[in-house]
Amino acid sequence: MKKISCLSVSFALLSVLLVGSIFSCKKNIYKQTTSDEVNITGYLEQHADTYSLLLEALEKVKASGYLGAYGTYTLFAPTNDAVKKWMAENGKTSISEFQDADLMQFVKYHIVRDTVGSLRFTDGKIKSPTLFGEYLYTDVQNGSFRINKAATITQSNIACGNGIIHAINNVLIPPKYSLAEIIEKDTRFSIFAQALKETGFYDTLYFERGEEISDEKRFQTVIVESDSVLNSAGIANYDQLKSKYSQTGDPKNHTDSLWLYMAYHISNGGSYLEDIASSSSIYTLAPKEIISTKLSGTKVLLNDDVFNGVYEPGAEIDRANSDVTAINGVLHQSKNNFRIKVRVQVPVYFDVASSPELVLALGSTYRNTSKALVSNSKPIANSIGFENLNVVTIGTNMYRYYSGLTTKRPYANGDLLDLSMCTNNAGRVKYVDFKTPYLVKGKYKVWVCYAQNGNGSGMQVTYNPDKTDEQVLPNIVFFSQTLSSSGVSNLADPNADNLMLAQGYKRYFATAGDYNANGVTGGILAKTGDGSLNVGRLAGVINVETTDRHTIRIQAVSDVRCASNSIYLDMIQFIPADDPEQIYPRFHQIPGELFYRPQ
Amino acid sequence: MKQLYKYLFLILIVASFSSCRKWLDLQPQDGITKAEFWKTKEDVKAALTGIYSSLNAGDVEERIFLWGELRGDMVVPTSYAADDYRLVKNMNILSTNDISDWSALYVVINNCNLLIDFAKDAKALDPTFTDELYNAYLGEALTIRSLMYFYLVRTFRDIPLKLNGSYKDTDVKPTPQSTPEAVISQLISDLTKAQVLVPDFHVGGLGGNIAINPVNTGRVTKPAVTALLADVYLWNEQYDKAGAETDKILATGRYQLLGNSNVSIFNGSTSETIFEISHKDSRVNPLYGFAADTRKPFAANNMLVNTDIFTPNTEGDLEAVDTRGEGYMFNTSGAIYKFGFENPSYYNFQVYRLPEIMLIKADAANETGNGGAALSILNILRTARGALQATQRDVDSTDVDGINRFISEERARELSFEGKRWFDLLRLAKKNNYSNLDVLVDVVSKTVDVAVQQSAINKINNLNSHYLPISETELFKDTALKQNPFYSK
Repeated sequence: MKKISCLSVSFALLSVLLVGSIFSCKKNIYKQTTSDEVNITGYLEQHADTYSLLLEALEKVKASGYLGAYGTYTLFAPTNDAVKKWMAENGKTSISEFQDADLMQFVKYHIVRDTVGSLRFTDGKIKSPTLFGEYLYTDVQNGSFRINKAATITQSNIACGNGIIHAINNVLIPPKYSLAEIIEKDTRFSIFAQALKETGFYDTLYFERGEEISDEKRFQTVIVESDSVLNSAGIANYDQLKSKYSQTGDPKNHTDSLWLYMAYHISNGGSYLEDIASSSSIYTLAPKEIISTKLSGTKVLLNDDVFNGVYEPGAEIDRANSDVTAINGVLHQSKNNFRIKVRVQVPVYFDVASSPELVLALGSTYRNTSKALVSNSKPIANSIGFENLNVVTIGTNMYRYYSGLTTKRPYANGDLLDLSMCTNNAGRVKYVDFKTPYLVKGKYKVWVCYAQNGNGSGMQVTYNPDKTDEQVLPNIVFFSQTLSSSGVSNLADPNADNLMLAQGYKRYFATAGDYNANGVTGGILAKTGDGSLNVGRLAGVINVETTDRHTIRIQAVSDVRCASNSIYLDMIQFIPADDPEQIYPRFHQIPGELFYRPQ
Repeated sequence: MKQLYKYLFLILIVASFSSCRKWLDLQPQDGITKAEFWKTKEDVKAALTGIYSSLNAGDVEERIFLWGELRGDMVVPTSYAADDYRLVKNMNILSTNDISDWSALYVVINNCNLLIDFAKDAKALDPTFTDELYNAYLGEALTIRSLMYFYLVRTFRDIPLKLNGSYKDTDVKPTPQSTPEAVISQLISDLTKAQVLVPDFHVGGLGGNIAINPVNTGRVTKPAVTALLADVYLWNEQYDKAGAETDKILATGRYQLLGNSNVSIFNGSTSETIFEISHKDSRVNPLYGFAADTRKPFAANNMLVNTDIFTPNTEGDLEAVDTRGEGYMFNTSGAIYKFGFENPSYYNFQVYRLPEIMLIKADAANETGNGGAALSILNILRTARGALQATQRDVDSTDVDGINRFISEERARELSFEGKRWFDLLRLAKKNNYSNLDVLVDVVSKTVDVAVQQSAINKINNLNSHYLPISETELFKDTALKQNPFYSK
């Protein structure tokens, strides 16, 4: 018994030795932390030789605490050299000589409460404001990113635990003046400045930090015309400007044209050229008046439009002298004179298959062959939108062109949009949006012109969907209906047009007996039979509040039989509601051939 | 009994102390068994096959396409493309961008280096390994290595020029970058050497008739070396030499134009093919999924290509079409047919074709004061392809700059989507000390998003921005590497 226990003791000892020896050659060094990454303050402390002065300032205003804790920040960190330069400019020799309030402003202007890496820099403002409440502007010069056109980033995207640091070679100083003061101080803007004062807009553009002001008016954009621009437009001084525009004699009156002229140069919100060029219009302070904008090559053009088929050359922005940041917004300069265009309401016969954007996108396909409207999951023209772009049948939505002069289902200009739309099928497009041509403000009757297909869905038409001025039109347009659905039994009756009109139907395609100045006779429809397949249907009346390009949505709300390519959409006509002529002119396959009431 | 246990345990303990050393394994843990390899000519042949295999693995062609097309104007990233590539398009490139991954090319380079280093060992051991065969293998490896370095030096400018193989961990040493001049002069010397080593053809050749054979187009032959050398000379602005090299190829008489362009040229191994990366009976062409399939991340920039590159006729024959344009080499939704029609696609990737040699010759002729010859070469090519009147540039034979741009436009039409566009634009821009920088500014202003257009124009004016950054991963691995100063801020 004793022997056995002795054996078992030595057995156990040996076992321990054996087990221990197996692990003998591994060193166990365990990492105590989850990350070596420091926070922003930690980084500055590690690089004290470069950032000691900044750190001192941060500590003095107690910002180093939150920059060392959790959060998402972007710090534009001026190096010691930059801070020294700034101190010298202010006649100080150390950080401690500054007032706490000044340092607070300095620190707040260098911090954005968001992580903004250089990948998010554009030719405009950083989309989140600084803690100071104003925006920073970024651009590129000599291959380096620049902030506020004053400081160059010397090292970007330093990743820290709670944000990003960009080292800069100059301290960022908030702008000193408001828009009103900048314009007033610049001798090149003397006429414009005087007009601002006379119309009262000087006060609109004047702002001092700390003033109470509504959010939408905190930042503004003004496009200035210099004296030389006005001179070349034939205006030598303020008096001439006043006599040219001020019809009431009181420029402060909101119906006075000089007041409107100045209002037309100002808009709410701080928009840099990048913002202006990416949107298609600027909403100005002149009620319901917009400036259309576009980018042509690298030029930003204002009011450069084709209106009613006539090209109107616009005013070019002077890029070099624009994007000037003020306390309360941005100042741009125009190279040419521009003003509100007085427009009268005109009918707009919108051939959806021949919109300028689509024609450009179609290139050689236009009036030549068919082409899918969506390619690479994107509409080929930005004037057309689909809901949604990922359905399997998206590729069947086509631009189509027929060159022959047929009398069964012809199309204006020979082309149409051949769409596959249904409401109750996940595989099909639900609605399609069109950007309209310019519509001068006023009321319009909206006529949807299509060729009938027995499987065509019922479509609801919406003006400016999802906008504040959204208007859903009352009549559902059934693309399966012929003109007979108007209830008029004898379509050949001389009075049939008027009877149909009363029911909200019309012929939009040339039929026998219509007058054409060039005597075109090919492809003319009969009044009955095939002639009843091209239908104009009144969707309703819209009230256009702003002269601009708007959106029209056509949405499937009922299906006959969900079939592919059963929507033959040809035109959408906007005819002024008080225009007695809603029926003529009628259209034809040959572009430009219009048919009028028989004389 | 007790004694036995004790000894047993003792042995066990002693053995267990050395448990973490594999003292029974005499092979190095970190290397291929070099001692077992490089013994016969078959081993070297296998290594050569390995080189071609790493070349057609897919990654190399993807890199060539990305580097050569994404920064140009003829290809756009679609909604299926990674964000990194959209940022490249917007000139918003960080060193963490995937575009900078060059590993696929260095894998090929290392395979070449190993053959160049060790083929002589086999040569010494294997008496049946003829000089002729040895030279051919060596020349092919030198040429492919040069091809890889040529893409790298044009993409990154300052690159590590590694000329020795790495077959064990200790071979991987920090390698500082060489200047582009040093790289180019290495390429010229390697290719001049390879020209002597590589045979005119690998298959056929009876009675001077050289059969069009996939082996002669898929493996490096003397004309392939010469084509690459001509291209290197052209890039290096040594026009007389570039012209002389193209003459050598044209003098063989074994290549001829096929007339109208046709996708079968890109299927491969035609009388136009000088060198291609072969996929036949092997791995699929990776660019089919890249730029031709339904959910492709990259597509032809139809709108720009149809207006600026293949400008349609507005007068004369309105029905005329260029057989290299939309409907032929790419479709209306941007799918590029040069990489095949169906999935999987085994189209070969064209590296050098006869038309390019003609265009290099035209370029060289123009720069050496023979604009007339340049124009007549362009004319031959344009007539064969059915180029449109609208794309004809009426330039005088003494207008060097005009002909330069004409050639560049013709290269865009002929070599579209073949990973050459950006290098052509860059070469035109940097000619004569960057006298044509406007070319790049123009491309950027047309292709970059509105929001960053001005930034991008400002960036492209910085010459360092024309080359990609060294990848962050590589900088981390190799402390000797220095970042391109444009990206270090």
